[in-house]
Amino acid sequence: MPGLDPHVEAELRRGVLQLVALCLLDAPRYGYDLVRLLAQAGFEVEEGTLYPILRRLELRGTLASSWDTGGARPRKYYRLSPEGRRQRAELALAWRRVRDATDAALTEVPS
Amino acid sequence: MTLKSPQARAYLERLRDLLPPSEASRVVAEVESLILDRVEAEGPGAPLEEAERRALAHLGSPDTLADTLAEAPLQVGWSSRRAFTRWFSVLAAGHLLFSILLTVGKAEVDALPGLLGPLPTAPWWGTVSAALGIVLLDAGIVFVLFTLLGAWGRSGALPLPGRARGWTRAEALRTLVLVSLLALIAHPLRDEIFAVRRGATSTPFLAPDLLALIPWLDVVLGLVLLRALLVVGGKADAPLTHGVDLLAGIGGVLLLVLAATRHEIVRLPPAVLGQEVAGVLGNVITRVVLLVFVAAALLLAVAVIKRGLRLRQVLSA
Repeated sequence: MPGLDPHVEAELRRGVLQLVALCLLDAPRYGYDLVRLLAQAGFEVEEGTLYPILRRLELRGTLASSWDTGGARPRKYYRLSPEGRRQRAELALAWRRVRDATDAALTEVPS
Repeated sequence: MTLKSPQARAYLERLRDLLPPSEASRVVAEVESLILDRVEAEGPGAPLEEAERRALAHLGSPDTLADTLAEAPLQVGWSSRRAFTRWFSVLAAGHLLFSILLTVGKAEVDALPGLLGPLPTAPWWGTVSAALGIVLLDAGIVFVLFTLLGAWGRSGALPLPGRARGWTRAEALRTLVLVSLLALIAHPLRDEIFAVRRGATSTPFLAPDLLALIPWLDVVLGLVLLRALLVVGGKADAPLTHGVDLLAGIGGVLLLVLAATRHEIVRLPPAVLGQEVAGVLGNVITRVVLLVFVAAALLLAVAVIKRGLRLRQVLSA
């Protein structure tokens, strides 16, 4: 019997990537740092996928950003804005509703 | 720390071309920072160019990245729409310009039958509908080209007119040789090359109307020569060099437009070839030469856009 298509799980993870990224952005982090932390949390993501998400969140005011020019070269840091905290709370609630509904449906399935 | 590999620089250039100018610099700076972060994370031991290539792989193609950055991509990819608009604008503007010049120059025949010729001057709605026809025709041509190339999976065959890159010293030296050859052909060798021979008699056939443009050609060749000399002299990226390059391009387009709108391009001698042969051959040569002039002018117009973008970049830097 064939196992689960890895793309299915990747799609499920992609659906919650934004929420997980927001959870990691209470402290200021730069793009590659976030890629690394997401990978450690079990969410492998390429820069080409994450960067457009960060940019979109920044344009919507969910994230605030600043360039750190104190190091060897300038580096852009992202962090959650006050509006972003509110959005994250709403997103978390939505996620819990989806999770609870999914769990409820799964309890009906004979193991 | 800056990017080392030509691939990484080309990636950012391509990305810059695909993005709206108001956002390009900011996004490119951020993406460059992402690449450098990934390179840095590989440690000091890794060869930089290899590390940069691997970092680029994590970003995907610049076209896809630019497409993803667009707020709401519809059925046609954002980069494709941008390429379509640019190519359509260049083609339609060139087409209209040539048609107007052919009209002003009172050309009596189409340069390209059914495609390029003088506009009707009366009634006024005839002129308007002819201009509209040109726009629709060009939109159709570009649409068909994009559809075919897209269907063949070769949409990259119509690259966006991006910035022109500068010449290397070897290219400048080759240009010096080429300019010298053209100058030789335009002056001492002209009547030897462009002539009809029968026995000991040699009759030049270029029309005086066309030969009147030789001083213009000299000016354009002079500008190209100056640019090549500046590059050989080590000033390849100086604003003056790019300015001269842009002037030479504009001069070249004007020269080709003027050449394509001459009343007479060749005058074959009927006394040597016979009335009928001279007429038919003259007509064929005129059509072929017009086709070459028009194609060259369109290509050069695209090159002028690239040179303009390059000059703007050099000046802003």
